[in-house]
Amino acid sequence: MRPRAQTNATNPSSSSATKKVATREEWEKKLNEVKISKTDLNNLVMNYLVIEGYKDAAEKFSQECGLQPNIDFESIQDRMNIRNAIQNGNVEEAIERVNDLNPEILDTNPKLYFHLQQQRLIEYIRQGKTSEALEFAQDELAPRGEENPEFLEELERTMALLAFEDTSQSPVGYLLHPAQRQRTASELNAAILTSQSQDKDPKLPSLMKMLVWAQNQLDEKLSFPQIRNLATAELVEETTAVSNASASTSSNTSAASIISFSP
Amino acid sequence: MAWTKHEKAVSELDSLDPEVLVKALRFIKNNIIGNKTKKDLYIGFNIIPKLVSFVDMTTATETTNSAKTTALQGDIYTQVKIQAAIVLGSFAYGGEANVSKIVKNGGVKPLLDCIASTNDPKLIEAAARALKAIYTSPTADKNDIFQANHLHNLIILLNPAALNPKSDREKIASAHTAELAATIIARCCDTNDQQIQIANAGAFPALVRLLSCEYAKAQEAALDALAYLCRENTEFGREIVQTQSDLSKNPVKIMLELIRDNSPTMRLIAARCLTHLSRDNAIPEYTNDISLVVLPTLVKLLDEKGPVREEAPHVLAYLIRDNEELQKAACDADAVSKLAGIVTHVADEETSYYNATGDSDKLKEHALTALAAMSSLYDNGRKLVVDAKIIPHIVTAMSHKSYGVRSAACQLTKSLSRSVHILRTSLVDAGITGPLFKLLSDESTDVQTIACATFCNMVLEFSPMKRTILELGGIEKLVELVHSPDNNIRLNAIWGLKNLICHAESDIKDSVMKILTYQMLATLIDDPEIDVQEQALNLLRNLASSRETDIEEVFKGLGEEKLMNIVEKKLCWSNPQIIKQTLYIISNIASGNERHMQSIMTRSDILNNILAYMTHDMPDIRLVAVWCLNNLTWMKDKHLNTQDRVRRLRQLGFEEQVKKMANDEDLDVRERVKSAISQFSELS
Repeated sequence: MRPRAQTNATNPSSSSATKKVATREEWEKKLNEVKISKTDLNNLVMNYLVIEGYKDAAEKFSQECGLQPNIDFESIQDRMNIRNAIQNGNVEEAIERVNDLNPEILDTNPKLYFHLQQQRLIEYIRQGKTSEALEFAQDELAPRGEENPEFLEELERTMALLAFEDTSQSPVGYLLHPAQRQRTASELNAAILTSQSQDKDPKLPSLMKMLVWAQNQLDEKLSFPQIRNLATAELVEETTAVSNASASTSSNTSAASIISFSP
Repeated sequence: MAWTKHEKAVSELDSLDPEVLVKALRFIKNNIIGNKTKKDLYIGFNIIPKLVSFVDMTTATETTNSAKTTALQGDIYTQVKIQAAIVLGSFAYGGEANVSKIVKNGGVKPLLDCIASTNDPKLIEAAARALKAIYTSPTADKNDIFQANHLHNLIILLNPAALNPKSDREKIASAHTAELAATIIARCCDTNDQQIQIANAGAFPALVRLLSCEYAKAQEAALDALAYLCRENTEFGREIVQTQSDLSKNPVKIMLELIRDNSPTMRLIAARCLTHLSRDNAIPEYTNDISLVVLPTLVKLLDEKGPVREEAPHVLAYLIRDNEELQKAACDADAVSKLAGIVTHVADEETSYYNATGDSDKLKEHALTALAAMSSLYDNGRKLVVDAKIIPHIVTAMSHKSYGVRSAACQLTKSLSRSVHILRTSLVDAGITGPLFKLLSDESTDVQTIACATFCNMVLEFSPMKRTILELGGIEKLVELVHSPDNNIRLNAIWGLKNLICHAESDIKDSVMKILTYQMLATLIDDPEIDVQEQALNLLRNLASSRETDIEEVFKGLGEEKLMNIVEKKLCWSNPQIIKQTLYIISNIASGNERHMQSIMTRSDILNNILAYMTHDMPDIRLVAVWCLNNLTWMKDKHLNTQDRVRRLRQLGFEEQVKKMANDEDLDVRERVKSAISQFSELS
């Protein structure tokens, strides 16, 4: 996003002092004039569920709205099993399953392979198996770190988890959050989709990002009720330019939380 | 102690129970995939021969003889084969050393036997994947695939429907198998002969059909294979363009759609395929698409990351080589600053940390090569390269650890040196002579060859580097290279010496000939390579030019008899370049003193040949032939000898012939003819 000051310098008429204002009433009226097809919305949700490998949710959703995904549920099953394995902390099972599906994936994606091994290390640490964790790091991860300096840095960060008795106090404590498993699972899911020539990015998150961007663009010219929390989609009227700046950041985080939405 | 589980798995490979085998193989597979250390560990246990024998064994599904074997057992043995093939494939992903071990242990043939379409689809997929990894290694021997009916089997697999997939899961798998088959084909057409065999097996229709399937990875592989099948092969380029399956559109149209795909990899591969077709001259009606779509796509791909960015400049260089229009278009698209950015940026990376993958070397090499291509013909391109301030980086690149980078840096210097202005200023200022001179002794003959070619431009009379090169021992070095068994090095070295004495002072000619020797010159004039002969004759021509004393030196050096024998013999050759250089030698000798002219006049074979060449198809040759006549009839004075010569030439029919040429189509020839006629008329 361009800094506001710069915009003012090039185009003084758009400064907040002279900005036009759209009231909530006017804005809602405008919004209601836009016709959105229910099928499009359903397709958007289905696209998200299929790509992210939420087979059960996709099946239920399909029954509810009578929509058929363009791929059968059986092939989503493979990816869902792999995702579930990681989300349950069973990385080894996920590796075995992906190797059964296509052994080329992990042989040709060193970064992904490293992240899976890193996740295994995190699971050892989570279970308090310190000696296993150390042995695993030395045998499996250290050689990868030697191959790539980037991996070495990540390995060091992960090992820092062991330095704190109470991991919630650790600066790298986030590695133990469910979001970390989610991240690893999504990376693996995307690699499988790519290997199968399927879209790896669901359309919904990029649409959300586009919404945030469009709101910010419009905000340079007009003061209007904005969606700041993408989960509730509540319209909030803006008061000052400063609060608007913080609104755009909070919108970004909401977009991220949508991406990791778990049914 | 941690290794005992691995040793246990290895010992289980000796089991007679197929269930145990499958379990052990799966354990090994899940350990080695993605893990180089574990691959090395297991290869160290020497399990490759065992794996090969598993893949090679005959299972119940393949033979009906062993009636007692139940279908169930057949399945489990197929499982053993599949898992063994996967493990071999994973080893092959570990690099060239692993591939050569698999090849040495005879792993290729059994894997090829597995790809027959009657086999279990999972076995076919596993074997094809291993073969792909093996053939991706540049050192792998490709002969086996052209034996038996392997090619035929491979081409059947290009059709994803061949394996009768039913569920989506099976459809994805068979599209993946088609992708693997296409990639194997792409890696196995290095030579013209291989291209022909693959084409004859029916690859084109199958690949063109695969181009319009709905799986991006399979489309990419099909494009890749088509690109390498028509590389430097005009006939196949045209054949591909004309290949149309019932369902699909014109293949070029499909490629032009794929080049607009969202995926950068797809865009790159489509651009490469169209580039190869364009270089084949197979798609002249798409010239606009090449300059308006393919070229800008390649330039934009320079902003990508990883393998795409690494390969894009390589394809770009190939596309614009020998085409000034496209070189200009690439410059207009701002390619020079992007490539200069890469060259500079990669240089920074090298000093910060060691990159083990070697990718940055290839990237740098390709960026320099693309810059060299962009400035090879287009003069403004040279200026842009200089303005991008990368000449110091070129100098540094000349001592790079990768020979590809050194060679590309030379190539770029060669392109730049074609501008006399840049040669005299930027290149001299950057102190390029010393580093370039070192490359004449490079361990790589490729680098030596191109360094030598670059030197050819730097030893010309107007070059400020000429003195430095002589002081560095340039003559000695070039003479040393003239003795090289490598044809290209010999050619470039004699070329350099030829340039060195072009319009040179007599003392430089003397010092060259002292080191080269006339004996060696005579040897080079009879070199097995016609191009070397041409340059050697050209050198002789340059030696005998400008001054009477220089001609005298050649007469002394070679001996009059030997010199005239050479000239007489070479004049009978059919190669026009040889004839041309020989005629120039005669013309130069004829510009000398009376004795020099007499040596020609006494050889009627030479005179008759000059006369004959006055009617040659090539204006170049007619021109030199008339030049010879001009010099032989030139009157410094009304000397009796001159009158004799003119009389003799007239008798031989020269005057009659030259008068017939008054309306020659070539302006230069007409000018020379005019002066020859007037010289004859002065002595009528």
